Amino acid sequence: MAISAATAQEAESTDTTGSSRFGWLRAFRRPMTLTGVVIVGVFCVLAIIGPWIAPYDPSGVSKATLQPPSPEHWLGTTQTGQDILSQMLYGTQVSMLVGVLAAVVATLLSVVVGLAAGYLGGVSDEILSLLANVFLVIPALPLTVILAAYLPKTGSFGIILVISITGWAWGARVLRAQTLSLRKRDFVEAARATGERTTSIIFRDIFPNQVAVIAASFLGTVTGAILTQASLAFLGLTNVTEWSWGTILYWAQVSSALLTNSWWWFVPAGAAIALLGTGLSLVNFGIDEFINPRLRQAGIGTKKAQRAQAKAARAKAPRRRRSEARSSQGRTRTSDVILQINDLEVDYVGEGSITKAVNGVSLTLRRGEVLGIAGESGSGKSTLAHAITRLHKPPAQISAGELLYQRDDGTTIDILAMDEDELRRFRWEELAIVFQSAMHALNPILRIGTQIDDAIKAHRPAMSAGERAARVLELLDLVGIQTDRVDAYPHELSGGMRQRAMIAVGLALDPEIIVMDEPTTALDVVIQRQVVEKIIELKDRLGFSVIFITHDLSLLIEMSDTIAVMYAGRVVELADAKEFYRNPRHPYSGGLLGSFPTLSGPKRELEGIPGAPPDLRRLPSGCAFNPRCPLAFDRCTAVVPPLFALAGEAEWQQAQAACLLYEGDGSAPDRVPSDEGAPREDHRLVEEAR
Amino acid sequence: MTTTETGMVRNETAPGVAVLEARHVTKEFPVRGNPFGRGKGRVVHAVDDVSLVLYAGRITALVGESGSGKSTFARLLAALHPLTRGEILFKGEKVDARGGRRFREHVSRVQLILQDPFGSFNPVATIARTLMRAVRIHHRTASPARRKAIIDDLLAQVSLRPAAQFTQKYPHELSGGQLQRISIARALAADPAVFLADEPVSSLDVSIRLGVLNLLRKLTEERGVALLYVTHDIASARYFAEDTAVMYAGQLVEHGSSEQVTQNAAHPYTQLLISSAPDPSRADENRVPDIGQPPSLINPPSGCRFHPRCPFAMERCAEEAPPRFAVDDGQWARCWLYADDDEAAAGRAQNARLHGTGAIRRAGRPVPDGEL
Repeated sequence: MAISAATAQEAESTDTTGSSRFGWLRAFRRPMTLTGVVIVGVFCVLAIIGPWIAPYDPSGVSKATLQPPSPEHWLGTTQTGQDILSQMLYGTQVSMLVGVLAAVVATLLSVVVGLAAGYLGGVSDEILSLLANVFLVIPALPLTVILAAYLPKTGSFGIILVISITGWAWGARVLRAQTLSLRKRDFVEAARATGERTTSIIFRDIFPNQVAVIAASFLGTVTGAILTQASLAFLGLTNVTEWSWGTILYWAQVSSALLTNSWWWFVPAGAAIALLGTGLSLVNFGIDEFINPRLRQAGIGTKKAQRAQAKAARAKAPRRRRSEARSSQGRTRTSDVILQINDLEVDYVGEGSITKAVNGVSLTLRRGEVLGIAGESGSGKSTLAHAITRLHKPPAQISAGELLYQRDDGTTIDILAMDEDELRRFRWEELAIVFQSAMHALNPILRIGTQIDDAIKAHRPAMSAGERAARVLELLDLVGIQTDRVDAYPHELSGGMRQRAMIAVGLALDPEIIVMDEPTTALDVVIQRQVVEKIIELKDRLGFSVIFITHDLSLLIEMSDTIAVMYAGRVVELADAKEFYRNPRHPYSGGLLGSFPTLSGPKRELEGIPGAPPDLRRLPSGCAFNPRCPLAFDRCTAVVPPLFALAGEAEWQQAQAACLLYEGDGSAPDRVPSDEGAPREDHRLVEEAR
Repeated sequence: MTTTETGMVRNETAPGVAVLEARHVTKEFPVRGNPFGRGKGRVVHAVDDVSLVLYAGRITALVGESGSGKSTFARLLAALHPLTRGEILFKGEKVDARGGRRFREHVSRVQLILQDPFGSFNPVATIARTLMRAVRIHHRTASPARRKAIIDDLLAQVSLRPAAQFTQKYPHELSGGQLQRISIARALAADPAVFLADEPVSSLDVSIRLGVLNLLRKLTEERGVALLYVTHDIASARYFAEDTAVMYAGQLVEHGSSEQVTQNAAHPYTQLLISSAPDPSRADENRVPDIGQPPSLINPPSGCRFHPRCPFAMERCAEEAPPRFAVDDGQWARCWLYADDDEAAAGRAQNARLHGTGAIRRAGRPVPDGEL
């Protein structure tokens, strides 16, 4: 059955490497994290064993007063001859104990309050949030000082209490906000719909996803608590006979250690606080990798990957300025060509690996043409759009190819050879880009009129404010936004209107080419239809060319002149849209077309394609489509098929398909497509091959 | 071998046993206004008086644009939100899902499948752990070994074999199609009588959508489960569902067999939806007029909610909400065009000129409230 075939292949494509029980250990690969863990670990060990290894009684006086560090007293002595190393070792225990216990209590409080407020909502949220807010606005230090002044006799535990009471509110707020957003996530909804209890959802879905935040807030609170304890002790608000880093500083201060230049008295305590704080922060940086299985497997943020990316950014692909294209290779070069993409390759540089997202793509865009690029996720269509506009970011990197742009005056320029200034001028003036999410592409705090105005101002400094304002209104009118909406903010516009505003920004400087990457995917069909018709109407009126990228083949066929189908980084079929719809040649194109349900006409059989799009890192050998191809034969696993020219009528683009079925000159009479839907030669060929 | 054998052949016979029934279901979400009066007491009319029946072994599509209330309606059926008015019946019995035990009883019979497979799994839990939780809820007495066997069986039912390849994976290691199959497996753990699939394939690649839809169809037919297929894609409703209901601004505006609704749409909104959908097989190039946006659901338009966008709107459309008119066998539309008078007849003639096959439709029969 089709289904079982489909999943068998899906299963095959899944590798068995990856998650292991000890995956979290990989987080230690990061040297920063490792350093932090070591520092914190050393302090913890010292805190535990400190009193046993201390060479002297920390309070014991001796005759060796105010000695600088020496073999007898490694860290020197105080005015009364007490050994500072021993004081430090005893002090580590108290300081760490106060820091960790205070952070535990404060974090517990904030987790309970934050999660309860965020998940339960309603009245409990109001009350708990109010409580947290009250504690937030209480000035912490004065309160701490006052509370500490009343509680000095209770020793460290009083201080722990004081620090936790003043320190939990901020964490609670952060966790409440996190819980609120997690609660709306689908997997929490899914857990509810499965019938999970509220407690189970909180502890299994919400809590584990916040461990990173909780741990970060815990580590931050530890640092804060140690600092607060030190401050209080320094001010003499704790039991000054109990040794902690703060008390050492207190005694150094009251004994005027600074005046006697006894640096060894206060430096160790200060350095310990700073070092532990640094260690905790370093652990904090790496905490996400401990928690998030995705991050720790991807190795994002590992030194190696970062180095590879930095190298990729530096290394520029060999680029030459060309005044003439290689017409000798027999490429279509007519005068109306505006953009010629030759053998473009885009790589994603990862940790020790290079993934080809766009692999040898050659396309031609003519003036006034709509070139549609279709493909599924991972086909490289969006990478291609970014590469054409050179908006790709590392780790993506153009490793080969040419992007030849032909100006009005007939001169040709390679976009890849442009420097930053040329590129800035080229974008928007000659080539504009409209992306999928208009809400993200528009600045939410600027009125749309202002945003269009900004685009014009940046490129046409000579234009007066009045001329620009007139142009803004003209553009809004052009894309069908009522001109009185010029002062609207993006959120005040509907999705369709925002997408039109984006198109207006794109059109502001009369570009010759507009690249549209899934511009209507987020829109409803009715609105999508309106936006698409607007684009076509404007194109007819203003005469620009469009590169339209989408996964929606039906839409593409309706609006494009030429269609390029991409699969696994390559163009597998290129043809006139109408010809393509009548007679898709590549088996993948056929399968894709056959996957779309139709609304009009008799219901035809939906065939679909077994399997799933391939993982670019593990492409099958030969033709990337061969494991899913119903017509595949032996040679398909051995040869990567180039585009073969096909016979047939063509208005814009002579049909081409990258399929071994069309090997040869493509003009063999038995392969001439027929409109009657007679069985194509393909089938017979396959029979023979089998 | 084509998918037709496994899936896309549909029985156009009588509906069968009603499993889940929504009667006059209404949901209003309060608007958070400022505390000084302005905006207080306002509500979003997300779902307004929707009645729909789901039958055993039968797929019903609920089609609408974003914001039409179709997803909210599915969640109401899953008892994830309390109803404002109306009632939900499961096999004739009124559903009361207040309180943990009764809620769990309801969800063990009615399972929701969400749109985004990547979002609907806890990112820090393995597939085995996620499935184990569902199995533990719905098979309380089973031993740990038995539960493991149940998980393997569930994965086999959604054609993910061998199970061991998937159970130890984290969600980000699997593809969208695989994850969506696992969500279906998770729903199957409860052995439900009703599936509520909220856009189950719209975030999947086109080439793998059919596989997931066929799987849902197979499960529906083999297990006699009722399936509500919530979608924005009316073309897929034509192929996948026996019945189609069209929702606009929180209300059902048309209902009938999928073939009737897509090939002979009665309501002007359905007609707009169909003419807007991209479809290269369509011969004519009729342009859709630019008719504005769906209305605010805080202050919905008076009368028929579609009248401000409707090219055929008459005076009464702004004044009085239209009743349901039965227009064809089993098909009804909530539209004044099908009233039995001269003005409506003129409207129908105009409608036939712009849409449809040219034949002018007859007036409809008002549907009594209790009838479905």
